[in-house]
Amino acid sequence: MKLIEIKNLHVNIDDKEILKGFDLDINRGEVHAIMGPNGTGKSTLASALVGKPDYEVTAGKVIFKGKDLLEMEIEERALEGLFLAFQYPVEIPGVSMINFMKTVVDARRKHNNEDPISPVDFLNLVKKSSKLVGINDKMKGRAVNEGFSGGEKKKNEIFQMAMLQPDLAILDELDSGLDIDSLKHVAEAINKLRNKNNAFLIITHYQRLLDYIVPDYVHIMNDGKIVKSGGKELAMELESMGYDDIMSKN
Amino acid sequence: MIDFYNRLFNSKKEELETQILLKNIRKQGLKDFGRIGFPNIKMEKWKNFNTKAFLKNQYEICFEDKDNKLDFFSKINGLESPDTIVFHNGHCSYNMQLDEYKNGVIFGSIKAAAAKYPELVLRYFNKANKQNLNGFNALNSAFVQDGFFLFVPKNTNIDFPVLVTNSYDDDQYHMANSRNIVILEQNSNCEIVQIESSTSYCNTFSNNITELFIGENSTLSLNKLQKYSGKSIDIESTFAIQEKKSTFHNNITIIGGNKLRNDVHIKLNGKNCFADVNGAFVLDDMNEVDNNVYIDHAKADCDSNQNFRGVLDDKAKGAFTGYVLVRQDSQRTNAYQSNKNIVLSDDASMSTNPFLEIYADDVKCSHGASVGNLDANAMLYLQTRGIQKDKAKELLLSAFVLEALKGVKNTKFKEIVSKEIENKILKV
Repeated sequence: MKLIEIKNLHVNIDDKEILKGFDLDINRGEVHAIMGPNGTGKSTLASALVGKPDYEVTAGKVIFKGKDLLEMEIEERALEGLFLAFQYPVEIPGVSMINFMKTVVDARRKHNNEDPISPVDFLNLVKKSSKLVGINDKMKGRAVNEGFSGGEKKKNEIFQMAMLQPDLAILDELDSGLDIDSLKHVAEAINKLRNKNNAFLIITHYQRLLDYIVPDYVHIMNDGKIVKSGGKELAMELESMGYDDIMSKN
Repeated sequence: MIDFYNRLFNSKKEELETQILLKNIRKQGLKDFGRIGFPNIKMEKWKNFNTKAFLKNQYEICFEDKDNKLDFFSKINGLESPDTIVFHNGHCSYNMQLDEYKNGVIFGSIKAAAAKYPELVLRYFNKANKQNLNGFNALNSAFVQDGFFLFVPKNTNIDFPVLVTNSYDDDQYHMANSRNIVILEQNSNCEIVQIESSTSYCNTFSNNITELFIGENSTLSLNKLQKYSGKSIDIESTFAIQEKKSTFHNNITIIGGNKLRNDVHIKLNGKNCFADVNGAFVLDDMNEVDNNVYIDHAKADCDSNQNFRGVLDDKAKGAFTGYVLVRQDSQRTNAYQSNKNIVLSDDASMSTNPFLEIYADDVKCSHGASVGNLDANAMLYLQTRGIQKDKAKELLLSAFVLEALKGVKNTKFKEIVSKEIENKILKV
């Protein structure tokens, strides 16, 4: 069974059609990258998949782990194992990172009919995940993303991903806001989290990220749908030719 | 209505005047009340607070507490203090009249304090509430029944928070006029935790004045929880006078109330003072709350901070007015003011009014106010992590309101008010 099947997805925002028949299948164990110029609908795809309000699906279907994803509430999608690392993670003053993570981990456990996590197990999980991603204790003591630098916010997204171990993680423009050293570090963490049971959908504007997280498949998106798919070499080709040439070649 | 309270005063004159010491204060109070009467919405400072409906009731006074239930306050779980004073329908509990410590601290009923230390009490009575600013203040001066009195001599720290509870459960239309006085001489520190609550059938109208005298280089914290039922009327005026290098922290948490008004007047009467007034409120149903803070920067080099946060649902109505007066010679003043609100229903409303009156030129003043909805992006973020919509809303609203109380140092108090806020938010 495929992990996710996206068939002919059409999405409108304010009556304007942004996704115009998007198709993509992802199996467990695969890493897919979606590239494309600005304004082609890459982030809209991510938002529509997590169920952001005001993103109206006008046609198509999305089957996630055999279930109709589009019928699920936002939180149900997350509990089923879908994760989005936001391009611009929001600051939430007053909600402490630790309380937030405890709430999130327990919500997941409740969904799986498990008891709340024990304080010791929770602390071990936090320790392991923060070590993997390289976030310091100071960050954990603060409110969610409040006063974090751009890089810290991105690391925090991956920290949460490490805590939750989703089946499918969508990484939306992960490299924006990260300097090269942080990027390497975060990519390394993601590579360690890759396994045969999960999958990643990497949305990126630049090829740079894909030097560190090597995808199995690269898709080029334009005007609301995929216009070209290939292996990791497609990203290299894109880097040397640019979007215009690659798409005219198509 | 003025006539009614005049007649009430004359008919109860004998009982009222058992406290000989207050004779002139009562007389002046009644006279001032006769002159100014109750405020009404045509007055600028009362335009957000309509008193007409409840003032139709004729509130009697009651001289004794018929049914003193001491366990009433223990419902506020987990709050304990080595020294607690309990008021029930405005009356001090019989076995907690006055505690006198070896170091000179006096804490207890103002009635008991006035009987034993008349000169001390009279030296401060109505010295911060100088003019009976409005009809409610005047009425309090005329009919004052009891309240708490705390005297902290110089160079003294009380190293635990003293606890005051005011609970009301009288189904009769009675008024309870409490007068609280706190005196900190120089180089002293203390914290007061005050818990006010009422039952759902309570018809008491509580009308309180708290006078605070904060001496040179002293610090006073007044942490208050106002947990009134949807029927309660509560009007409170706090008058603080701060001498040089003193600090005053006033943290107010409001959970409900039919009509609730807080007026906090602070006079920074010496250089290098800091006044810090914070409020957090969660209102639903027909709750109405009007918070007013007046800070008079009478001397140079003082800082003041006001931070109020509120959540309003159903048909709740809220108002915040923050006045800052910086007098001509009060150079190097820093005054900050913030009032942020989340309004969850179309029928709820919030009015926020900053007033800055600045006559000095070397001054930093800022104010910020907002009335808005829940942050949709923050909701989405929490939900995409698997948190249910209701739980996400609850987390965000609690965090939003509690931001106003982030400076509260008493962790036990903070824990209790956080719980109260969370419980109330569960209902909105």
